[in-house]
Amino acid sequence: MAEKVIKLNVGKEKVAKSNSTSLTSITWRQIKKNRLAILGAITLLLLTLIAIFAPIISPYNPYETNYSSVKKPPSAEHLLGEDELGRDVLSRMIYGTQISLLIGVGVVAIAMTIGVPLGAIAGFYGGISDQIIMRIVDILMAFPFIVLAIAMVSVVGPGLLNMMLILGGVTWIWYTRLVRGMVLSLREADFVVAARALGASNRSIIFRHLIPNVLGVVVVQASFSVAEAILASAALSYLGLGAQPPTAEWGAMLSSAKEFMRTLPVMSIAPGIAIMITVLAINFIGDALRDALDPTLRQ
Amino acid sequence: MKRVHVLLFSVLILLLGITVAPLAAQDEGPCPQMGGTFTFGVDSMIPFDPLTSNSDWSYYVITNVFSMLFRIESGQPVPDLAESWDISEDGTVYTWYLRPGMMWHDGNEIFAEGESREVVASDVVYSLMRSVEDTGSMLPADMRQVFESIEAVDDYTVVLTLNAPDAIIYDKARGLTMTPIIPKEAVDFYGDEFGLHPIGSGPFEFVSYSPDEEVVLTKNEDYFIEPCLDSVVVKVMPDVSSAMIALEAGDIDWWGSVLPGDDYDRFNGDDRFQIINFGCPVETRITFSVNQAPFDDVRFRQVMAVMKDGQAINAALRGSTHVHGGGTAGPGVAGYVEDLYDTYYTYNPDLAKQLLDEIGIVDTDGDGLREWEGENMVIPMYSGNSAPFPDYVAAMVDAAANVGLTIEPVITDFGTFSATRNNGEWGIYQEAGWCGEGGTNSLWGEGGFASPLGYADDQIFEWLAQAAVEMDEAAREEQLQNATKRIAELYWDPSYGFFNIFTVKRSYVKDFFGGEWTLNLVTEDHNVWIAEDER
Amino acid sequence: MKTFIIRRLILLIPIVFGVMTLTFILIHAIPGDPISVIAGEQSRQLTPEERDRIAESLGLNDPLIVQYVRYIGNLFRGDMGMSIATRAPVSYEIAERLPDTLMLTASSMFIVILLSLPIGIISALKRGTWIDTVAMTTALIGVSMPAFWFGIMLMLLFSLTLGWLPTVGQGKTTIDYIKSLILPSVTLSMVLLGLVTRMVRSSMLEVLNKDYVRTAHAKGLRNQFVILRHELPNALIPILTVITGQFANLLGGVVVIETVFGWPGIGRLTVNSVFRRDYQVVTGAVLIFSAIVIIISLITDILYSIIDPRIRLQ
Repeated sequence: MAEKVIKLNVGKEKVAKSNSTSLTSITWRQIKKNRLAILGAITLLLLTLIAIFAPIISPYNPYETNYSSVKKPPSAEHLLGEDELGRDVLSRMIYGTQISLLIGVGVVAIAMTIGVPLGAIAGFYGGISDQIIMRIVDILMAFPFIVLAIAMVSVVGPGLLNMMLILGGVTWIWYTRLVRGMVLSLREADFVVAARALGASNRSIIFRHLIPNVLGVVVVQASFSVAEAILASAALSYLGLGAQPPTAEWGAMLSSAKEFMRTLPVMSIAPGIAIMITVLAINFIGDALRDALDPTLRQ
Repeated sequence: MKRVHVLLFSVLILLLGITVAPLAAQDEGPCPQMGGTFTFGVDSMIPFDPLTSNSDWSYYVITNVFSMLFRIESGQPVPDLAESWDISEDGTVYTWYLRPGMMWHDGNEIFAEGESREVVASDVVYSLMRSVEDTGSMLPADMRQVFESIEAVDDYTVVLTLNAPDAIIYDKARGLTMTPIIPKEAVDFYGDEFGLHPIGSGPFEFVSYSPDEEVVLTKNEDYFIEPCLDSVVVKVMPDVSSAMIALEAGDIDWWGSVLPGDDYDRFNGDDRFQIINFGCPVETRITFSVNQAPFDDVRFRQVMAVMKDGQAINAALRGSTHVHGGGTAGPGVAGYVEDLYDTYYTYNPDLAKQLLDEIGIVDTDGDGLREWEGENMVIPMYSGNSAPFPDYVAAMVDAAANVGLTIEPVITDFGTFSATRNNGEWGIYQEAGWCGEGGTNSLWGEGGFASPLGYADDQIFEWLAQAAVEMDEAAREEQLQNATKRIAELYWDPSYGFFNIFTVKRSYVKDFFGGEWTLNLVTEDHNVWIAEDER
Repeated sequence: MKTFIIRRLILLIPIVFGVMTLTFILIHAIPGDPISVIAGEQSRQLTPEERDRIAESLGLNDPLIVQYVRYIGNLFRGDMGMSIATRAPVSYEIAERLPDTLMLTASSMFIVILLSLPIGIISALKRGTWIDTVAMTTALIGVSMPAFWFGIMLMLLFSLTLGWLPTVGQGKTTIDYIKSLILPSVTLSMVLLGLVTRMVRSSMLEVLNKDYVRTAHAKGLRNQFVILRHELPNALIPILTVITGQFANLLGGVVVIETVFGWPGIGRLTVNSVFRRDYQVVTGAVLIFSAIVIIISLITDILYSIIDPRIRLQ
């Protein structure tokens, strides 16, 4: 989604200039001035800690059913109540952190692995390879993203790993377009010409010089995509194609709790809020990164 | 939700060869209140050609736009187009006497205002033949098999001949005798698009249809009983949660799809709503590819039956709509055996473990998981993705883990599920949605719905086939019970139990008879009206 | 310019063709067949012969390549085929729903513009203050929630508790129609609100950082609104192009929202048809959908070149 924003910057050839500074030198000063970014970073850190220490902090086994005590509102023993199979909602929320973060990061990692090199190749070599890659991108771009995901899940079958592969497999085009545009404008930049004069191979120019230079913008896009992947997995769960039960995944929990929205609101509010907080935190960080990269916004 | 085969006792009377004299026409007294619009919601709807319409909910429109030979109400046949009928003693020849003066809806492209024509016997013959002969017809094979001939004796008499009496599988006869009657002119004119312009002779005339949105009907003043309602609006609401909000907010007067378990309790205690029972408990069960190891071993199937606490799971997921019992036929259904659950399906994890040890599926490497053919046993469990099926799967995963087995859920949309099932893939299938004796036969009979998974037992086939033509009620009940018991003995059907299904209406909708998958708004016994002052 | 547009329109053909082919392959690769699904919805058991007979009558028994060639042939004659589930022409199914979806997306666009401009401008003017923080958080909260959940929450509040708006479906009179449009379009607009507000804010910041603006400020022309009035139009144009560029994104977002609000749109049609394996409906709907996306992106590109002459159309 953020792809268009960055593309605009590329059009104005601002990013290209700013990118002579690498990601590491994006000033910490810039980011730390941003209150929301700090808030986002702290939240994300907390969520990561929760995910890592889930087995320790979780009060119950998130998969253990108890049919004698189902659909219970919050109580002292079960702070967020018990679900339709008598499982502890809080424990499922805690374990859900692992899975939701995994989905977000996994999807983006897959998409970047495919999209970034292809974009660099298309931009750097141009010609036939550019034509082929970009026509594929055009076709996929014209597809309704969610319909493509639904069709592919139906073809390869459900499951967490498949869902990540598919979401990654339909979003890599964002990176390809982004990276191609930037590489195109950097292709004749001084440092590339210099590297070539020194006898560097195309491969080493792409991977040693070009990709590191575009990584900053890619990371911004990636941060927004993490947020989107989490939401997309929730949408797939709503359509009945998400994580497989009994997996404690927020999107799946939310869509199965929909039935109990009126009688047991906490069951759907908890995962709903959790998704919201996570996505919001990631968006704050993405915003800050983007601001930091955009020279016109530096003061 | 799948079609549930409900129509039972009427059939017995009908098919025992007793001529059911139609009830004497009641006084067509004025409605307590005339006028008003009855609005209801369903979760999906498709056009209304009876030939191809596959959606249960489209039948709510079809049964009101078209007249049929008769209708079913509280399990009793009530006259519609046919004023009366005879059934021959051997149960194969049906003679229908049509009501004179029934007119096709007018004011449309086929029949101009005031220029309609009478519905006559040849229309009935045409409609039945179309559904028997058309290659695109969804009328199943067993219904065609039973058909022999149909003939218009005169304008008001039709004779339908079956090639075998149809005692238990009333479904077959129903498919033929409850065929909506359509005018040939309209089908010739509209062709494939007849479903978008349904013209019938029922109590309501079709006004408009917006796909995925709504259908509007207005009353047919020429119907032999004047409807109390002015119009009927059907709204399509694909999300059940929002539909329940719509019902509560008063945007719809009746929710015509099935009520989710949790909402049952909520509406049940509320004066503004009335809950309507569909009348036949639906079974929830698992099946497997029985001719593949280890499912070919009855002991392993028994493990599946006793390793899970079926009643507790069903009670948790279906709440108050849950009914205690197990097997293929629920309480009140022919073939029901009361102690079936306690005899065959009672939760007993120790027995499950013991049986697994006997079969040789044991844990040799001490990791808590049992091995089969040298590896930890992992069984795929296939299920459709509509609620609460995924929860049943989750419960099975947990139950299996307790006896050292691993179940791997494969939850997909219905299309993928049915393809997997038709292929008879190795694993466990989560199923539900059949009820009644028609269900027992459709599922476990020869070539039945369970056959792609390898279910075949000559003894069961024989009992069911005999029951299908057995005209003596007691004898048929015994044959059905024998079949039900044998299905349980073979552990063909490790069921969770039964649940009742419901719809809910606003209290201001009066004289309403809903359920049984057809919606009769106007008959000799019922004429739905709306108490506007209570709205 | 003319040649550019013609060139792009010609380029459109292979893309649409590619989309169609990919859809055709994908939808047929999904396990299951439409007849079993349709029969199964009714729990009717069809014997293999029955299935075969119906498949034959629908032309589903022919080899895929034959079906593909036939489909393309029909397409050139303007025939998009027939829905297997409803037996209605695909063009009818699409034409009935497309206006509803376009209406929903257009009104969401309207809401996005209505909300993002003030929020973005205020947070740019008050950059770094708590007002900025609150404004941007507000803009992002909507996009951070799963749409179906957010939609139902809105419905609970505005339809059930307050009784202001209808719950599900479409109103018949103009006023009822607008009322029924509000909740789904607000829900859908959240998809874009965060992004566009962000854009507005950074465009504004850009303007405010320009030398002459700073100079004016330094000279004592303290009221930034005065400057804004002159600069705003320039800053808005790129924002508008971004918004049109996001139209595709909005169209993608409608699937879930149309389901929750019972809005009879094309997104719901497409997804339901995937579930029903209604091959020709899926292919037709995706085809129309992608054509819209491509045409809108063409318009966006033209807009870019008009606004920023440095971008040459080639």
